[in-house]
Amino acid sequence: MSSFDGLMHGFAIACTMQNLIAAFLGALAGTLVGVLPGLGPLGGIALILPITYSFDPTTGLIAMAGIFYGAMYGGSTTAILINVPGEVASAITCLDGYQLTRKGRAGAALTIVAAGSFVGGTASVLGIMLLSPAVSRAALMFGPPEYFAMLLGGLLIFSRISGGTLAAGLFPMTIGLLLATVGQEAVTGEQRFIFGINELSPGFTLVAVVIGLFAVAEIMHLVATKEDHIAPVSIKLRDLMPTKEEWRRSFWPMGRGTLVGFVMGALPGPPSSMSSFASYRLEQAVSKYRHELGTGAIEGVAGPETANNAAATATLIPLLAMGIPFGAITALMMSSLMIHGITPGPLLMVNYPDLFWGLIASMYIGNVMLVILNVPLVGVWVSLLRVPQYIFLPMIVLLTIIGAYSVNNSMLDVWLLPLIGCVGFILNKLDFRMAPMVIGLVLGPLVEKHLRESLILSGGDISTFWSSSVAVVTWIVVLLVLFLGYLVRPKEVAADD
Amino acid sequence: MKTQPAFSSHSKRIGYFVTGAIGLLLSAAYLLLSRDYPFGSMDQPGARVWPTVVGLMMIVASLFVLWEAWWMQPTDQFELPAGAGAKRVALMIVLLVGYFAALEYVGQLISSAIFCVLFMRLASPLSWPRLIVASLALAGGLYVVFVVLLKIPLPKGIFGY
Repeated sequence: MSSFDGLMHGFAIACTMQNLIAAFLGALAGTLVGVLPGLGPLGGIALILPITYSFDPTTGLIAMAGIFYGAMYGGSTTAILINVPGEVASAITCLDGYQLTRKGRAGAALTIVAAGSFVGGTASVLGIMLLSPAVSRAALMFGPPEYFAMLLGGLLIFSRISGGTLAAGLFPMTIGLLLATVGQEAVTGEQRFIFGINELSPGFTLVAVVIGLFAVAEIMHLVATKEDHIAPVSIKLRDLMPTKEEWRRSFWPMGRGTLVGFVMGALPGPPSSMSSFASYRLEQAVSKYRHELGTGAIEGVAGPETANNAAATATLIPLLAMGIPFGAITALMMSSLMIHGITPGPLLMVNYPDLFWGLIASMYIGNVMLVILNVPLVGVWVSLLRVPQYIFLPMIVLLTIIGAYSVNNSMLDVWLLPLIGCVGFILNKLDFRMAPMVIGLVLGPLVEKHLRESLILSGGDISTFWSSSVAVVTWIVVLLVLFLGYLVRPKEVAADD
Repeated sequence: MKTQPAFSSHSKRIGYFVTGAIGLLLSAAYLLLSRDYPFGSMDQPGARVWPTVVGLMMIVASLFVLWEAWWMQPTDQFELPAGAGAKRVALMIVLLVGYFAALEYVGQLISSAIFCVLFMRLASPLSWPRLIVASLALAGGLYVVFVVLLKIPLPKGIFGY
């Protein structure tokens, strides 16, 4: 099937009533998660993930992807209106976005963000469509040693560049790997570290760990601070239209943001936050109006917001084409597919064309839905910011319990929430990064499987791990990132995407 | 009257030392426990091979934490809840534990409503009647969406809902 035929087939799948509703609800929930400060896209997806288990895999994946890019759209709203980023990737948007609000240009900035997000998201979908078949074909040539190198190497790179110091990423990543060894192991079926608790046999539930680390830890922070409520400004529909000059000045930043976001999204790391920072840096370097950046320049909003949406979409390339999630959110998506018995990887496109192309087509539709949801309905989202915290917090607590319990109908998962929440809260305060822990938990069993398969196939010869050019190049890149990257790493990049 | 601060500062260096030490202890215990499983041979690796690698990686990571603690400025600080903030967090954890304990016996709907009333009391200026109405609306609304509409199974308890 050619890419064009695949896309047409995908539209037929995505345009069924069930999948259209899934895309819409995903985009809606994602925007909500993005708009409300505190609950980031990762915690939001984890809360909603169990609901998607009852859908068929295509519908579930369409809903999850909608939440992901919806959160990227929504996250910028609070950044622009009240100087509080709804998710990490929008942190840089505060710099110029809030200044634009103070100048009375909030509506125009929000429209530019929606347009840029649409451009970045749709261009990235096109890139996925064109690149994924080639990446899948290349990945078919990989054996266990290459996969081992790419998985463990990707983990190490991710933990290194996810922000903070070397230990801040590496330490949580190893905790994730350790947690992943609890339960029945995949090769011989032996039970490990369950201490007679049968509920631990399937291992730690990813959703419970993510909800504990991100949602419960955030609730604890909000309860401790009891922050005052910030009243956002009102936006009238007539204020939403940018001027001709603003459109003109946004054109090239959107183009550059798309390119930066797409490339960074396809690589390991916290793609969305890193790409928005990188895009801002690029604007500081090349924009004709760089002297205005930081004082309310539209370029400082258009570039980063386009980049983070392009990156959020491009992260699906390594997941769909190679079966390797390079981010915590794609790791959650992978775990959801695996619950349905589907292993993402090079054969996904051949074995599950409905799922692959249905998802791609739904993303075009979802991006259009998001523009409609975000531009004319911005007033509705703004009014949500007025919901007092004492209503919002118990609702999130109830959702965390529903989310954790419903995966395995296990009270153990519920009891784990405060424990994991406390660990996440303290590690977070010490500036450790939590996303590498999530990826370690998801990828641990796969790394072990490929390690043991490599040793069995090579008759115990450990040189198999550097016997191919792919493996050698991967290990060289890992070493470069771990040690050279230490010197040139950006300092202010955080990672919860 | 002076209001109590929600957070207090602590030495980040000590925080890192404690974290690194806990990491070392955890990895040592983990490696000891992994001895219960067969190592196998290099061409037929057993269930202990990967935990051994993970345990060693965790030792290295913990040593990096200690290394960074060693070179950290003594003036570096991190914040933990204190005073009124710590009290609210501790109360929230107590409420959560009570809620989880009640969940299996009285069911999701009733335990959630009671939890909401107490939790909102902790965080809001609302009067009791308003708290009760808001809590019932919240718990009932989520029950209708998740249990009735989406058919997600949640603990029913002795009352059946």
